[in-house]
Amino acid sequence: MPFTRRQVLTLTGASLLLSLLTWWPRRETPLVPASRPDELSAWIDTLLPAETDFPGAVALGVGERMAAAIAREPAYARLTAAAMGWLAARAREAGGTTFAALPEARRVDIVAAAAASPEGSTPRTFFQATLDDALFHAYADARAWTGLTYAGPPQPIGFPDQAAAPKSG
Amino acid sequence: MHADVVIVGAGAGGAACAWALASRGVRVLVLESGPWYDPVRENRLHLPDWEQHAFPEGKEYRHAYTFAQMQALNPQWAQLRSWNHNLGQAAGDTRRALKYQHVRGVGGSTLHFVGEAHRLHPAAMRMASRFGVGADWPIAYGELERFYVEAEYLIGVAGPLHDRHRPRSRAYPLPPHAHSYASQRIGSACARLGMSWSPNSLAILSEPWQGRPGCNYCGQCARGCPRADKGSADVTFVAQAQASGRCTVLARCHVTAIVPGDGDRVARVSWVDADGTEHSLRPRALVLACGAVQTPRLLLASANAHAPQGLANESGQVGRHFMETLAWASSALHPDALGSHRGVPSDGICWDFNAPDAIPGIPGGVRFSVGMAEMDLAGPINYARRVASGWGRAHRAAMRNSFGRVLSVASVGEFLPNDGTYIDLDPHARDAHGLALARIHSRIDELELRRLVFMAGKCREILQAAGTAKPFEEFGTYDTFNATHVFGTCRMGSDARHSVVDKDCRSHRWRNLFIVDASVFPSSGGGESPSLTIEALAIRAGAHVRNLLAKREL
Ligand SMILES: Cc1cc2nc3c(=O)[nH]c(=O)nc-3n(C[C@H](O)[C@H](O)[C@H](O)COP(=O)(O)OP(=O)(O)OC[C@H]3O[C@@H](n4cnc5c(N)ncnc54)[C@H](O)[C@@H]3O)c2cc1C
Ligand code: SF4
Repeated sequence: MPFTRRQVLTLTGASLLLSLLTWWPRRETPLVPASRPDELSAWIDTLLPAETDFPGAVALGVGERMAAAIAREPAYARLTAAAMGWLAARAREAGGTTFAALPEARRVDIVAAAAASPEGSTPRTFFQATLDDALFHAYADARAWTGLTYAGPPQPIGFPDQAAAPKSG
Repeated sequence: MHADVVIVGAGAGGAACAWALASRGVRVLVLESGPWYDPVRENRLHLPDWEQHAFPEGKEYRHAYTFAQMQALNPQWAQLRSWNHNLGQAAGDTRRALKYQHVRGVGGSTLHFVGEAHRLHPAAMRMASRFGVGADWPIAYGELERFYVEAEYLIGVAGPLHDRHRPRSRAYPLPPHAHSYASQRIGSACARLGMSWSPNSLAILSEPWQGRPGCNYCGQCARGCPRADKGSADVTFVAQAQASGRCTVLARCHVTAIVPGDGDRVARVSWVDADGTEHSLRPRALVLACGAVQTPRLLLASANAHAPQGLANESGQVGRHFMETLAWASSALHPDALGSHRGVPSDGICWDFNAPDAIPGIPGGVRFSVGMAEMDLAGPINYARRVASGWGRAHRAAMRNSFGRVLSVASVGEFLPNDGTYIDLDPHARDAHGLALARIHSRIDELELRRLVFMAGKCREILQAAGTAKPFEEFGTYDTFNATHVFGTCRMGSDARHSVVDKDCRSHRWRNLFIVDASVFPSSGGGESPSLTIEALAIRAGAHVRNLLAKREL
């Protein structure tokens, strides 16, 4: 197994201190197509599905950005290729032809199995890396902020009501 | 181009010195390696993806440097590990070399800073004689006081009426900022613990000041302020120095050599401009202000027959006594919606443990302050990755239930100099001009670790008293080198055998060479942020240079 969790965390970034740099900063993502867009999209859609107040990661264009990142990083691409093999096997076991073709409940079972796999294993590492990436891209879209009582972005208005209790809703 | 004084570096020290000289009738040339910061073009705080971009981005805003081998971590101090409940531990078996946080640009690292404008505790300038550790300053607080006032009024510092630790001859020019709603909760928790909580003194305008607008509390100072209400050096000292008509600032001009000459004088300074063209001139007086990592590098790299150990390094002290940031922050979720992403980054502060003898048995002070913005826990992406757990619908539910509820308490403390923490030249790494890179050596000793244990313990206590759940993330500099405040590599002192510059920031030997950045600090202070002290020292040194010029002694 070529990946440890630490390697992937290093791959996806590092950690922060008393400065407003993020703990796990990210790499830049050029546009290169990924090899299995449907399976990756279905995976991302299961990680961050649509809800009444959230369009879902795929609808927010997260799939394209992550596919580009995966295509750009050889280590990430190798991890993804290995994870796609694992995913295809789990999909067959669940009675489907592909992961994307499975009903949502079966896809959720498979993602849960990846999340519960041993630390450092392909499915667990892939789960951690892709979830972190999906969150990074999804919440950079104002459509993901509905229902969070977040009146951002920070400028040009700022938060002049900062000294008062937040308004609900 | 005619200039009486050449200043290298347009950060806190260089800019303040340029203003002090230009406003007193001296013609100044400032050479800055980095670009001008243009908020209209570069600031992204009005865009939805603002959080994906740390400021400043791109190599042009950074100086290259390397790290030496870092210290192995000891299980004895496991309680000081940095961790996050979603992302795990930050470091492995060895201390992690993350970053020397700085900005290369007009304004220097103040472009990035969060605006704290602190005076040093007077006793923190007497560490050796009063507490038997570190070194004394060759000047007393009283000698700096009027220069603090000058800096505070030029910048427009907003601060509280009273400061029982630091005598003042004049009130702050602007009233303090109101505590944010979340900061009020931390203040109440401190009160429950018998600790004080006061408005922090900030180089952030609480009211319009000299043509700059008041702050709108976006909390993102470290990503560069788009309104210019944050008192970074470019919009304050540099702007006013230029307004005098006697200060020229050349950006993207990287100083590559300083040539020591006869008569204990610097003979020449050379630089390369943005087009790659080389220039040099013979300075009447040369002021270095490249920060505590790049100034010693430039001095050490300037060795020649006149200065075989490096310029101004007759004592062998250049690069020694490097002091880094000793910091801790704990973050936890509060049950109530607090809107805690709002407000200036560090509006509230507790100075109770700031005196060097405030922590029993551990010389060196510390302070506690609000930490959400500094920990970058003030936007949806960081909540999604670091606060909300799970995935799928559970993660979304966690986002709804957590956004705006994080409280972080941060602490910064004294870092005493030690012989394992210093800057030298890396024999294996050079920049594009062939100059050896600065190499950072860092070691954390037991006193620092015990101080960190105190800092971590108090941060956790304050959060608990505020009614939060257990922390979901803690970050400290025991396992991660990540320095925003760096000092001490060209120590000021009265004894030429143990220091680099004298009490007026002048080299003990080189008569036309001065250093006015954080590298001259003999001690770090007990958690005070340094820029105001750097600026006060630089103004004081500028006044001295001007007097020497007037007396034709330069
Ligand atoms: C994220 C962050 C938050 C901070 N928050 C605070 C705060 O709230 N309050 C506070 O007081 N301090 C804060 N600080 C620290 C403060 O910004 C620094 O201590 C201060 O700016 C240091 O001043 P300086 O003059 O020593 O160096 P700098 O401000 O770093 O300036 C040095 C300048 O010299 C230039 N230079 C270097 N080498 C060359 C060369 N060869 N040729 C030409 N130019 C050169 C650099 O490009 C740079 O512009 C913070 C720092 C960071 C990074
Ligand atoms: S909080 Fe105020 S000073 Fe800081 S970036 Fe926002 S507007 Fe500027």
